[in-house]
Amino acid sequence: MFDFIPEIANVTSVRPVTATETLYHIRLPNRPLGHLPGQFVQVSLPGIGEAPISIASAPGRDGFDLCVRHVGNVTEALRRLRAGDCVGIRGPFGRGVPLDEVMGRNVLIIAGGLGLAPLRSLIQYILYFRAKFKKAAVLVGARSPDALLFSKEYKAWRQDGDIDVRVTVDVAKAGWKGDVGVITDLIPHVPLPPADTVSIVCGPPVMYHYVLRTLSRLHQPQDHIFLSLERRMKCGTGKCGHCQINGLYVCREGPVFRYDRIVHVPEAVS
Amino acid sequence: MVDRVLPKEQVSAFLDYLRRRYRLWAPVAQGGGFVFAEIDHPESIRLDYPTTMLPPKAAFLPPNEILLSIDMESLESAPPPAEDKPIALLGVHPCDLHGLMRLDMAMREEPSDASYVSARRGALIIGLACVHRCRPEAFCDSMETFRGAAGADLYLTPIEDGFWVEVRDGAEESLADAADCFRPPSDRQKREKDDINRQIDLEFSGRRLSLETLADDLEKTYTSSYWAKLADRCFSCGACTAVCPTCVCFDVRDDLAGGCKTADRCRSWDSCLLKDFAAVAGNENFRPKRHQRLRHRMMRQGSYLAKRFNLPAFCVGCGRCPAMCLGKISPLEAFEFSQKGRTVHV
Repeated sequence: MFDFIPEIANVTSVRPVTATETLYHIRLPNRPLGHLPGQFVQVSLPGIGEAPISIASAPGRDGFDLCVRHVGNVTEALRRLRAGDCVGIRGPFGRGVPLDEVMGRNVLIIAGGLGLAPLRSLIQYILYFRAKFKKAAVLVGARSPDALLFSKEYKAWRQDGDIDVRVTVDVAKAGWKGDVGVITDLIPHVPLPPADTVSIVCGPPVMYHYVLRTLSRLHQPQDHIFLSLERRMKCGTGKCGHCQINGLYVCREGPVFRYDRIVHVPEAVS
Repeated sequence: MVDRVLPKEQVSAFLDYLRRRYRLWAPVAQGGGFVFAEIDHPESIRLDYPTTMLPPKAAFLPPNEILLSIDMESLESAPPPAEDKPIALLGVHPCDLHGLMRLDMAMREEPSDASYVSARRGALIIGLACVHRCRPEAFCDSMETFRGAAGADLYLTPIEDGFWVEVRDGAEESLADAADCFRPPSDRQKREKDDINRQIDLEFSGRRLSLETLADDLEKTYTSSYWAKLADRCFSCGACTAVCPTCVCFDVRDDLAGGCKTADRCRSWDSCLLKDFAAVAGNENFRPKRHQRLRHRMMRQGSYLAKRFNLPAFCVGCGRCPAMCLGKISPLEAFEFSQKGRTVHV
């Protein structure tokens, strides 16, 4: 049975990430969230509304992170939150990254823009259980150096996690020493054998087509590719219809889909 | 299944029983047509109605409802108090019985929807046979939803002496106190009922779709230019979904109430035909074009939800949407397009 009652959770810290994104650390009063990397929650402010937000930290007992871009009614209102405030939480919802299909293999994480937020959950998980994964690489794309999420963490990902982190921006600015260009340019430079590598992709809708084309040219099998898709998840239980992609409900069957299972679903990636 | 007869002279006693034990919903005349409404005066009930403007869906999934109220001080949530009596829906035609079964499947699919389950709990569904076609737009013949007692606790067929009543196994219990209203049927009444059923089969003989293949046939039209042509007649107004017995899409929003002392989480019907339905924050819209939204609704009705719930179709052919549509768009024309040349006449 499912009702729409939110659990009242505590915001334990608020950290600006960029000019438009904020990272909130949240604790539920009575339980760990119990999520998998890639799942999402519904965050609400009483009287204002709910917004689906993906979880940006690895599963753990000590609360969870949400990285919020302030672009809608609810997410704009979340700007007012301070440490010590309360929010409503429902979830976790959906299917995350199936870890048993990723463990024991090389991992290629491809994140465009805010897509790094849900994938940070997986990156942290890899850091915690590093020995369970073979080589790992993270490709990060952003509009500009200012728009990069979690850039202060890249060093730790590289050093503590032995993760090959590569970053590119669409438009550089003075002082930028990294790559300039689209994220697909980075993919061929990662020395991971496609047949023994699992790719996990999350980014703006326009990105998927090009990333998939590149991975296909490199002969990566479709069942080794996972895509996290954004839609307007509202109820979280496959009823309200808002997140539907053809016959699939993203809130239940996704948001993480194995590519071979949606390659023939016309609305999924175009 | 037990067969009984409800004699004419017992109908009002039966209605009294229903009103004592249930909140009685039935068709009444309103605004030049008919609607299902909660009954205060049994004499207003019109079992001779052809069809209603809105399906009986609203009894269990209201157009607007409060799912819960949050106290702004304590932040505690509580659902609204449950109604004291369950609903009895009287006079539901076969297409709408099929509609209610589909509504049940969608809203009771695990995890089931608490508010719907609560409204539906203990409800008594009383079906009513359709003896005549209600309107030219209806295509219950094509969808094969014009007959049958499935989904009804009681199913009434009008006969000369009153109503032939088929009582679903397990539903006798809810009639225990009304047992005096019913009589065992006579052989003559049985023959009359069988005659009426034959008349119904004749009345609704006509076109048939190939329902076994409809879902797949429809999906094969996905890339056809047909949808853009059909969408030339679509105003994207959402009237079709508002009158549909099986459209379940909804919106949830939070409103302040009671002088800002509480916040109500409200649910209202939504429509996948409306432009913003699949829009997300940041100016991304996953179905920005009209023909994409129209096609999506037709696919939901003819394919997606049918496959999900293992049905021939989710649409029940009630004919409300083509009757309401400004462009006279009917799911039947889309379904028949997908099976071009294979429509069977019986």
